[in-house]
Amino acid sequence: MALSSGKLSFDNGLPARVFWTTLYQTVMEGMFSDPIYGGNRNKAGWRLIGFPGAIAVHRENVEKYRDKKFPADPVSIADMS
Amino acid sequence: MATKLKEVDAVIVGLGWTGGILAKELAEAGLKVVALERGAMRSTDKDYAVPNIRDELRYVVRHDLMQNTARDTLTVRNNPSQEALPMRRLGSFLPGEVVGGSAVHWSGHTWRWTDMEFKVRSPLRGALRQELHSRRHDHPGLGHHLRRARAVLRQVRIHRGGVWQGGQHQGPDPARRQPVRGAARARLSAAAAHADPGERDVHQGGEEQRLPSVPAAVGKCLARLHQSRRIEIRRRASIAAIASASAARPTRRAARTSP
Repeated sequence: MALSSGKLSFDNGLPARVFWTTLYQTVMEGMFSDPIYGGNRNKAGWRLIGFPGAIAVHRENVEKYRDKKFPADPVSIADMS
Repeated sequence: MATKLKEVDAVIVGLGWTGGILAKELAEAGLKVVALERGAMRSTDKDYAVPNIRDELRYVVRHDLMQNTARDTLTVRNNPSQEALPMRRLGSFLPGEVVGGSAVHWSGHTWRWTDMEFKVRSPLRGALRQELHSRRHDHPGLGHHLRRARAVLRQVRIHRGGVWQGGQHQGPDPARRQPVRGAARARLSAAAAHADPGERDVHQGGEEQRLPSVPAAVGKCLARLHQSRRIEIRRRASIAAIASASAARPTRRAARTSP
C-alpha cells in the first residue's frame, strides 16, 4: 500500500513508484506471459484465471461458457508451433 | 560517412499504406523504385499469423512493432524551463517501425468508409447542408477508386489465421476461410444478392468490407516486384543514405521514353 501509493521512500534508491511499477510489471509478466518466456510454468497462471491461451478465435466459447468454468487446457505458442 | 547509392527513377521514404501503394504503381509503370524503411522486414505468414501474433508480451507490452527507444528516440520536455530528456518508455504515442507502416500498427486491417462518413456533415450543419445537397456527396465519384483499391488489396485473400478447434490445428492457410454461419451468413447472402457491379458494392455489408493490410496485400505485390528486381527495399537506411538517394532525379523515365 505504502509502496504503490508512493508514500514509502528508499534512502539513495529508486523513487518508490518506479520500483513498485517495475516489480508489479515483472510479477504480472512472470505469472501470465506465454511460457516461452520462462514464467507461467505449465500454464499455471492461465489455468488459474481460465485464460484459453493463444487460440485464434474464441468468440463461440465466450457465449458457450458464459458464467461457466472454461474446461479446455490453455494453448501456448509452443504448443501450436 | 554518406553512402553514395546508385541513381534510380523514384525513391520512396516510408513503405506504409501510401508509400507501399505508390511503390507498386510506379514499379508497374516501369520505373526503377527504391523504397526506404526503418525497422525489420516482417513476413505475413510468419510474423502476422497465429500463434506468434498472439504474443501479447512481445507486441502489446513491449511494443515490438514500434520504435526501439533504446536505439533511437525523441527528447521531450513539458515546458521550456525543463531539460529535454529522451523518451525511453512508450505510452500512447507510438512511433512505429517495420515494413508496412501504420497499416501494421493499427492491427493490420482497415475498413471501407460507410455511406454515413460522406454524409455526416449534412445532419450536423444546417447552413452547410443546403450547399452539400446541391452536390452529389454520398460517395462522390469514389466508387471506382474503392473498387480498384479492393481489387489490388485483395490479391491476397483476407484470412483469419489458423484456428484451433478441438485440438485440431486448421491452418494457417490463407486460402482457407472459416465458414460463416447463422445470422452473419444470412447477412452476407442478402448483401451478395443485392450487390451489383456498380456503385452499390460500396455499401455491401459483412466481411467483404474489410480490406486486408499492406503487409498482407501490397506487401505480397511488393515481394513479387522485389523478386523481379523492379523494387528494391532498403531497411535501416541512415539519414545520410536517404538524403543521398533522395537526390536521385525522378525524371529519367520521361527522358527514356521520349522518342
